[in-house]
Amino acid sequence: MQYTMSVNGKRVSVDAEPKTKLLWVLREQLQLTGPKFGCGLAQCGACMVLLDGKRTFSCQVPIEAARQRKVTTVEGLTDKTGQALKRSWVAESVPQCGYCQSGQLVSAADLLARNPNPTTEEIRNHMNTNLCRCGTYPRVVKAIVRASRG
Amino acid sequence: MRESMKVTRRTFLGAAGGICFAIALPASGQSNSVARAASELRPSAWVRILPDGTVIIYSGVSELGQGTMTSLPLVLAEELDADWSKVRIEMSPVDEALYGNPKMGNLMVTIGSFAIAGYFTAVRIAGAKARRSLMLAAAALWDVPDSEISTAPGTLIHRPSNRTMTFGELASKVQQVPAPPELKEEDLKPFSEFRLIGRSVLRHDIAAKVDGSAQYAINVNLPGLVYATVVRAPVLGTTVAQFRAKSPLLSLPKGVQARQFAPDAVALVGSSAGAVLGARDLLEVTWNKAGSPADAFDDASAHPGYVQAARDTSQVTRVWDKKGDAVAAAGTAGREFVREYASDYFYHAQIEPLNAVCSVTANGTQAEVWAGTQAPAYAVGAVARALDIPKSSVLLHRSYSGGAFGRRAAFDQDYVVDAALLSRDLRKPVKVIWSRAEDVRVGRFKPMTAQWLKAAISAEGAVTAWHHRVACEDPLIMADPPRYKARNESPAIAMLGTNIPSYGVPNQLIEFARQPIVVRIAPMRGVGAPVNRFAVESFVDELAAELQLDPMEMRKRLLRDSPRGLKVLDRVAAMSGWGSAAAGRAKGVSYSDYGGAFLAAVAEISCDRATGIIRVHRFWAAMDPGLAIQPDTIIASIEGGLIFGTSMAIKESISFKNGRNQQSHFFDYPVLRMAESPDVEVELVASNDKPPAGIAEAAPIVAPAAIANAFAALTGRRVRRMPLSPERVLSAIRA
Repeated sequence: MQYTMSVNGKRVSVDAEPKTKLLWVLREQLQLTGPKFGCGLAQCGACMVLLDGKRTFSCQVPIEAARQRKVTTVEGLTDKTGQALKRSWVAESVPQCGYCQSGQLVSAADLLARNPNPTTEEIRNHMNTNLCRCGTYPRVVKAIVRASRG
Repeated sequence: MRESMKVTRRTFLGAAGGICFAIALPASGQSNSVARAASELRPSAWVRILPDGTVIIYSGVSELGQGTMTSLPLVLAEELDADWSKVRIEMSPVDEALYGNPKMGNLMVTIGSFAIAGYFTAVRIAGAKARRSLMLAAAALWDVPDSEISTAPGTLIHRPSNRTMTFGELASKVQQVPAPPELKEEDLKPFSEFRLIGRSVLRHDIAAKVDGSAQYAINVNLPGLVYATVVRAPVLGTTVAQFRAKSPLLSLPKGVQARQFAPDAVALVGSSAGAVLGARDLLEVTWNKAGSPADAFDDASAHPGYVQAARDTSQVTRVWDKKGDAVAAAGTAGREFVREYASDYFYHAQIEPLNAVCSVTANGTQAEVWAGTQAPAYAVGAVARALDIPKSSVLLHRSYSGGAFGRRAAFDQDYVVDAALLSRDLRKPVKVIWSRAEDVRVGRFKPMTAQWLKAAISAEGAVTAWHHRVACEDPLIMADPPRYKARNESPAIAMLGTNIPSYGVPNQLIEFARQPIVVRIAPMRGVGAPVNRFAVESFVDELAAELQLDPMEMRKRLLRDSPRGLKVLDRVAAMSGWGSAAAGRAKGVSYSDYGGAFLAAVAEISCDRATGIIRVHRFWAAMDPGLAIQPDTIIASIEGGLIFGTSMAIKESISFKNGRNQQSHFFDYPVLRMAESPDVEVELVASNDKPPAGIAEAAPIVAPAAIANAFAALTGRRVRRMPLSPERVLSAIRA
């Protein structure tokens, strides 16, 4: 089946089985390898993308449900908030192994889009969807606070 | 789309330094050495200088998130006097003689916090010798005595004639540099003259890990790539009996094929990772019995035997450490104090599931591999053995590891070999991705332990003897049989963390009682130390209670002859406001000198007495790492390590029934999440005149006992087994 959607601001058309998960279309067909496979069951958040601006586990979304919708991966976080987050992430040296960080950034972008000045408590609760085995959580919080201050 | 996203075989080869391996392998081998560009200088195996001034410095160690891919090249740049803004870091070729860890018999394995301590002096000497070579070349070019040459960052200087030349200019003028003199440690810069070391720079890997372009093996794309996932025997030592689709109605999806590729493993193969991972639950595999105790293994039934082995002082596989005569001293002391501790199996839970990519040539004689591994030379060797080809016919591209924690360090490199065997059998490039379920089910776990500690206390209240016995499997036997043999069967991985060199106890005896290996095991972050230190530091607190001493005061007494130990203890006491706690909370302290890094930490916790859930609110930690090469990297490692250790201490546990691990995902092997994660405050009190210590294991080592000690302070009850799960907490409270 042919599916058309917008990915990081560009119209793309892909040929895939309807139940194929969005994560694999992004990674294997579109070579967008920012979103990662970590668990396949919406437990870790490494696959997080924005779907019509709202964070979504791309390992759970069949491609047929993404048709004609707007997908943003970490590579596409280029708006003002996305740039501020990426700058803050570097300034705080957040990543260690780095594998979960694309998902962390997407979740953070989702938070700031709806709540530009979150408290640390709000940050921690919102970011609870994203696992980090290296334990970068304190720096994720700091980076989001820093980005929210512009 | 960013250019860097379009990873193709060609760009990967370009990144690997211009070897056209995929097209032709040099007949003479040397597949893992790097071809030399036309006009570059190689003043050392570690350094390449390009005419534009770029200085490429190799990292021998793997980058797992610990940051040594930046720290060690920075150490080399310090002695080379390189301009850091011109330095580019690359993974070294796989060549143990050149890039192995000098303090680990030149093995290329990134484990145990041994990278900084192992490579520090060797890398400094390499940098200093490269600098001398450049100076000799400049002297020859200018025809002046080499004693008149000096350097400034990236520049060679001849003061008498006021001439300068950048490293890049030299590279454009000469083809080779003279051999340097032999240098020793005392010929190097004094620590006080460091200009790069000690100042945090941006880690090499940060930017790519933020913009999403960092390359993990799981990202690699090749023309004609097929995907596979693996279903491996759940019980150690068993083999495949039969495999088929679960029922005709649940046949495998079109294009997905099941095939056995090893005695103990079946692969699902197809054109997308999603398709093969999705087919996993449609496949039914039956397994032969192992015909060994593995078939019936159950950790709950086995553990009492461990406890007996730890107690039974006649069972000594190895005396691990000894000082004075602990047994005789105990006989003459005023009283004896004995406590027993234990710990469950633990899973690495790296977020990147095990995966590798391999392309074996059609005739099966050459292999190109992409893998994130802690042991690149082992990966090359394991693929060579599996395919029965020389090591020189295997080219490994060293990817970042999306978490490793010991799971990627084994001699057999199981997940890499999966890709090699399947690529050979299918005659296609293959990417193997383990499902999360498989990563857990057939994981290799940190072994379960039983621990027995006895102290002798004199009439004056001094601890005069210390006897610690650990019963567990020795993970090195399975993880690295050659190293186990080469190290004379030393149980280092099992026993590290039991040593108490900075505690002034005159008589010490520390013994290992090895248990038979029945399940898959491996070292895990902190090796034996998180659980061993959980026992040691819980015991110190119990001794303090017995002696009616404050736990901080107790440790001060034990550390009376260790100024550096006392320094971190005093610091953390001040940072944490020791002696007071918020209402409903309590604090606990713990200490480690693992690897020569001194670390003291205080946890503040509360506990929900209805559910038994411990909440760790805050951690304070003070560390003396010796020379702090990259202070911010050390701080990040301690922050993360305390969270890793907290997770192990209160949430994580692997259990077995009939030889099968009972957990299969993050929902039944929960890892600490952000909302439950403590606030962490870390200070370094570095001894910058001392050699640098390895630091990445220290924090997970101290965290569990600090939490257990806080729990005892809060409730007056002690949980002596890790993790402090809600069930154990509730039974302690209700006892």
